[in-house]
Amino acid sequence: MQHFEPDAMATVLYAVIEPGLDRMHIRLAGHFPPVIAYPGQPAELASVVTGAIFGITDQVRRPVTTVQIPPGALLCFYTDGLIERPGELIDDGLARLCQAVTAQSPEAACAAVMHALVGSGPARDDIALLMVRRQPDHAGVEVDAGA
Amino acid sequence: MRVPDAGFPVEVIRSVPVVAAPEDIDITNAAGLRTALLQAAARGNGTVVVDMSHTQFCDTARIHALVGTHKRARAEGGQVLLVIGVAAVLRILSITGLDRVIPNFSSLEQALAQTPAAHQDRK
Repeated sequence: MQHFEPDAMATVLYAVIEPGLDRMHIRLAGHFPPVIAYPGQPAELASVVTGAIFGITDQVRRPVTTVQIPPGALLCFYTDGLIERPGELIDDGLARLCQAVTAQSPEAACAAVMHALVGSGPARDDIALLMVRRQPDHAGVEVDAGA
Repeated sequence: MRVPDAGFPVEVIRSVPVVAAPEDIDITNAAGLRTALLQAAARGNGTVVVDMSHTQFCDTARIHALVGTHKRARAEGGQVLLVIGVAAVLRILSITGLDRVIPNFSSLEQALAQTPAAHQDRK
């Protein structure tokens, strides 16, 4: 991208969940960290070290952060279009998202987040939303995506 | 001195162009800002100071204006220096990782002290 599309840039989130489902290894390139909701607790931004956005330099290390995923936890991945509004501080958008995310089924969590952050009107920007939940009974991982 | 197409005030201080970024950088003015930055950088041998001390809001997509200018500046042996006023803008730089790539300062004076022109003055 540095050589062939010098004016292009992109944010990337790359995550690998271990087969045992206990841990996720995540690397960010200029992307917002996921929100993680533990059963019965308020959701929070996962504490992930951020690396530089793709397209600005090829000489930046992007560290890997390991996040614990206990049974019943829900992970919410999203793009900036979900949380950014003109004239609003980014932390307000992130706080609104954390309030809307709860550890429930991915389908219900997607619906709740879209209702709380976008509502019934047209979205101002494109939005990608991906929810992943580890089953409370260790049955596996549920995935649901909405856009 | 003003750039007629883009409409962002450009001031040349000690041979370094300083572009005043608007209060909000959004979809309506990001392309114009980018043009203004590139034009100003061309006048400053690739180096330009972006004075964002009055900028309250800049979304992650619009940070593109800074990235393009930074890359062009580096290619021409210059650099982009940012003056950041509010924590919210610094937060966007931190989330996108630009804070570790593009030097940023809390005052215009600090930024100007880091420019090649300032170093030449001291010699």
